[in-house]
Amino acid sequence: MILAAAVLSAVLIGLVRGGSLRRLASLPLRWAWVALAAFGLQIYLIYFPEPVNEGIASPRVGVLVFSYALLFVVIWQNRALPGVWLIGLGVLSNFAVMMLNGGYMPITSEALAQVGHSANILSPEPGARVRATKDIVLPRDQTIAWWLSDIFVLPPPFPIPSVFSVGDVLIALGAFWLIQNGMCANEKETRAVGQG
Amino acid sequence: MTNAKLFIAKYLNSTTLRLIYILLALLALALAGGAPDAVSGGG
Repeated sequence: MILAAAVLSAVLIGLVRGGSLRRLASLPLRWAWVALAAFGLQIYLIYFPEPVNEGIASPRVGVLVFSYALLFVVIWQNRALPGVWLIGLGVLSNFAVMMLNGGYMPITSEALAQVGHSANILSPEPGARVRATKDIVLPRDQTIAWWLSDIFVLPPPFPIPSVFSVGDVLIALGAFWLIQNGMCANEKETRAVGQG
Repeated sequence: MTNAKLFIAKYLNSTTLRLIYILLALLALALAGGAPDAVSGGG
């Protein structure tokens, strides 16, 4: 939700800055349908999770890896667009920490409690999945590259209480940059970059 | 029926559809690449 809010607020800020939706529509985003397919693949994993992670070699993690491979293709195809390299760095950061910890994003039960999402934990065991996420619950001392996992907490009264990672921040910043450039920059400039 | 046709002619042109497509793709890129504690709803 926090990433969707970041994308939508980038559009609103672009409009306030005098940017144009028509210009955003002409953003030369290549292979955009592949990003839609990647998210489509993840919907099942996010909304119908197994109670406990079945391990890095499980079919579910295989689907997740394939969806990230699709994302890397989209990012590579659009690497010349402003902000896309930052999105790529964020996706790579999330992917790396997920693969180092069994295929999903590690989060501590304490962080989930801080935002009031403890009820979404699907099992009391370590490696429990969290409903409507790509997360697994792991204690901090059992998390490899903990600093890349979901460590930033925005607790209530923030309107969208969330826990997110360095990678999520990079993705939000990259998407913000891409959208601002797409709405406010000179149209010929954006097209030239897209064709470069 | 006429109103529906007028609405479609006025708003569902190629630019609007392209804008929806780009916005959905950007959302998909962010949501599929990101891993916050709630992808939608509740956080």
